[in-house]
Amino acid sequence: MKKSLFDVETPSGHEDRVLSAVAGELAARREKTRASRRHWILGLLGGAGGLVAASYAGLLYFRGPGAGAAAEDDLFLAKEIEETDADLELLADVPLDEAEDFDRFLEDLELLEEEDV
Amino acid sequence: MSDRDDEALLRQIAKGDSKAFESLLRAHKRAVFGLAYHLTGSKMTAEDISQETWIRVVKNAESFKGESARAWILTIARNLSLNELRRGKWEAELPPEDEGRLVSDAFSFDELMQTESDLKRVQSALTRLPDRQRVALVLFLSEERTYAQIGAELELDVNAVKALLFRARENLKKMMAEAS
Repeated sequence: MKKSLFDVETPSGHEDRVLSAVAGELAARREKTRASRRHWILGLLGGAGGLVAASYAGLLYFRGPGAGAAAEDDLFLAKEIEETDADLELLADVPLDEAEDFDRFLEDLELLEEEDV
Repeated sequence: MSDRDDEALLRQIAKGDSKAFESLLRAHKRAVFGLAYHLTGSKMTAEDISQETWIRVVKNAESFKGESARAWILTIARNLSLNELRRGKWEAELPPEDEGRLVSDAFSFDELMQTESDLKRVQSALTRLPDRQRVALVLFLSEERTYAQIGAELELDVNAVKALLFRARENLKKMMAEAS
């Protein structure tokens, strides 16, 4: 009985007027929620970005000595190629008959070696 | 609607959910309007107070931590109504001769309201009571507040509150007798 005593029919249009009165505040709440979500996502992306950057930095750090060794290998190979080229140039300078003699010398040497065996 | 449902709606309202607000409004708008109407005695003032109550519900939804959302919402409506009365036309009427006449602790509206039509007549008569009598009666009946609590709201001692309630009941009886 007490409850129904204070339960009164609202005037016509009451609900619409209340909804209109709170519309601005509800919109402000939604914007605040969206901004908070954006902030959270940006924070997450920033964290992920930081993690990737840290991982890459770590990779570079640990790859350092290996990379150095590869570079040394490259240097050695280049030097070898250079020396081979120089040998070929020297050989090209040797007169043909001498070169033939040299070939014969090598063949003789191989024969000797075979005989030794 | 249960208190838990109301609490869930308030959480959604705090995020700006219009549908959740509509559900809460539909569940409690009559009680909010009814309390404001009976406290202020004016439908126009009750309409303004109802709107302000719901705006405050939205603004403070995220800070709600009470047991009952309904009680919380009605407390906002009650405080706004009392502030409105204090600001304006609060009637100071309490003749000294009435102070000795105390209402019994078993004060009840049940004796006045036997049928549905009695309810409507009491509702109508309530709004015609002088402000202090009406407010004391509404606080006493709607929220089951003690004499001391009502006295704190109206800045009166306990005996004066009892006298107000006694006079309110006598006036209601008279109005209802005239109406029937």
